[in-house]
Amino acid sequence: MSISLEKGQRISLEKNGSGLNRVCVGVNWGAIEKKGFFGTKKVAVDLDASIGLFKETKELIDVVYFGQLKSRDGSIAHSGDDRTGDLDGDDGLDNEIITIELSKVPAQVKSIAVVLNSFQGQDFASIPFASVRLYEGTPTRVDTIIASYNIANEPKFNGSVSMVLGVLYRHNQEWKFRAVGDPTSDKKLEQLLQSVAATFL
Amino acid sequence: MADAALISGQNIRIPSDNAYCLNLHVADWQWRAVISRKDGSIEPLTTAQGIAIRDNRLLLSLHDIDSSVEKLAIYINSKPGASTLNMSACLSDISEKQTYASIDISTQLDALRTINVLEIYLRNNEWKIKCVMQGFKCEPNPLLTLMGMSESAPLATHSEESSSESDDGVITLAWKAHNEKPRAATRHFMGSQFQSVTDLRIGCLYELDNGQRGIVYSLDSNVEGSFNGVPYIKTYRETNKHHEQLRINLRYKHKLHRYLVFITMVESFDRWDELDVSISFHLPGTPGQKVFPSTLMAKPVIAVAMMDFSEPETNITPVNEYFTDLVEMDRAFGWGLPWRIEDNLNDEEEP
Repeated sequence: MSISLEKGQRISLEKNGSGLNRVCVGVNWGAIEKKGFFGTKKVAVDLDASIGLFKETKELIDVVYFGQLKSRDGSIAHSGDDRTGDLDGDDGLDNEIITIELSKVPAQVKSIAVVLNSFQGQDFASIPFASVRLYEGTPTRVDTIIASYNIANEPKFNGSVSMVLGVLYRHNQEWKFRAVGDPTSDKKLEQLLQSVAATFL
Repeated sequence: MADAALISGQNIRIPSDNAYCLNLHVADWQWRAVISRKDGSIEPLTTAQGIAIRDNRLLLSLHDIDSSVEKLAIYINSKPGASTLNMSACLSDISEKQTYASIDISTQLDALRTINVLEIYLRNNEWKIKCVMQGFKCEPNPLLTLMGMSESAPLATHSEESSSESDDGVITLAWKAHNEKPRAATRHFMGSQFQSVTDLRIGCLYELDNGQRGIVYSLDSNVEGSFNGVPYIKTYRETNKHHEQLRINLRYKHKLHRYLVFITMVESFDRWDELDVSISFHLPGTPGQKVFPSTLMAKPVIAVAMMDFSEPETNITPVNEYFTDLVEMDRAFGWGLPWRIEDNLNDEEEP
């Protein structure tokens, strides 16, 4: 089963009465190919998936990104920084995966923002293929895709280097997901998380 | 000789001049045979004089077996969710008309995951078969490590399909817990029961196909590596179990270039040859390799082997070079990692 959310749609991450335990963020992309006199040249593309953990007051309390691969509480883990993307075309495997164990997220965390930015500032539209998705499952097994965006080819991402995938948030004892799927004008992760707090929480 | 239904701990003598067939009914469990020799060496059975493997049967001609062999042990290992019904071992003559001994494995399993089912061994010039049925419930499995083998090493495995885990590359570092021989002076002061602490760690310098370089090292959780992402290799360890592993995610083989595997002595007395170290390499599609650094060298870092994934066939080249620290090893191989010296002195002086 695949549910792909449109902007603003919400989903309760509750299944058959038992709370969802693990969701993953997967990003798959490829290096840029530039044709020249001496053949094709590969240009590395460094997309970075990151997570911001926020309190009720929208205060940022922790970040998981390529420079800190685990949240301090251990509930969220990043698979490691891929600095080039696929060099030989799409291999169908995610280049970066963030695993979120919702049941282990400390109570003071009210929302978890999932964001993506292009570290070297390359326009999303210049990348041959790039997609980001939130799914239920593990890094090796995708059970249900909750939200998925094709950021290289959707016109609205044209000209941007940052985007917000969505926000996981607590609502009465359960986790919900609000799909955002919007580009932002931010250039760096720090600004991106600030604008998430201001606009999307 | 009548069929004896053996229970755990029981052994019977079997005539040495016969040829036997050991039939293993182990459902979808894996089974492995291991040979022990008189000189103390242990090795997984591949081929040996007087012993042959056909499907799930082991054919034995006892008087043809090399005189250096003193024991043949059969291990079984379960996969998650494997059935435990109707499992048995049965030793019969080669024509399978007369049964000498049988073991009902299913009723004696007791939730064990890896079990030494039986041993056929030479004692006072007589061959015997013994039902052992002892093993471990936990994972990862200390028994195989104790035997100096990696958990998913391709032993005499005749099970149907390999589990996804055994498609990973696994490098296992093991060393003996009780073989240390403290020096006379140490024994004098600490008593003969003194066991010195040894702590060895495994790691690698990596270079991916896209040029990314770095280090993975079980000493520091910040560089423990990553299995599902860059650099597709991760360290696993068990505290005080003398067992360290590097696991390589071969789904991403097309993104790998080379790994330089190293081990370091973190706490130990100073000679490698007294630690009985073994490093086994298991990469699907390549013959298993084992390296035993046994040297009088006291330098604490060994560059063990280079694994090269750039060709269709993976190459493992033993290196066996010794260094005083990782920075020196990095320079020797021209890896060029940006090492940084952290000055902890100031922190200690100013509490």
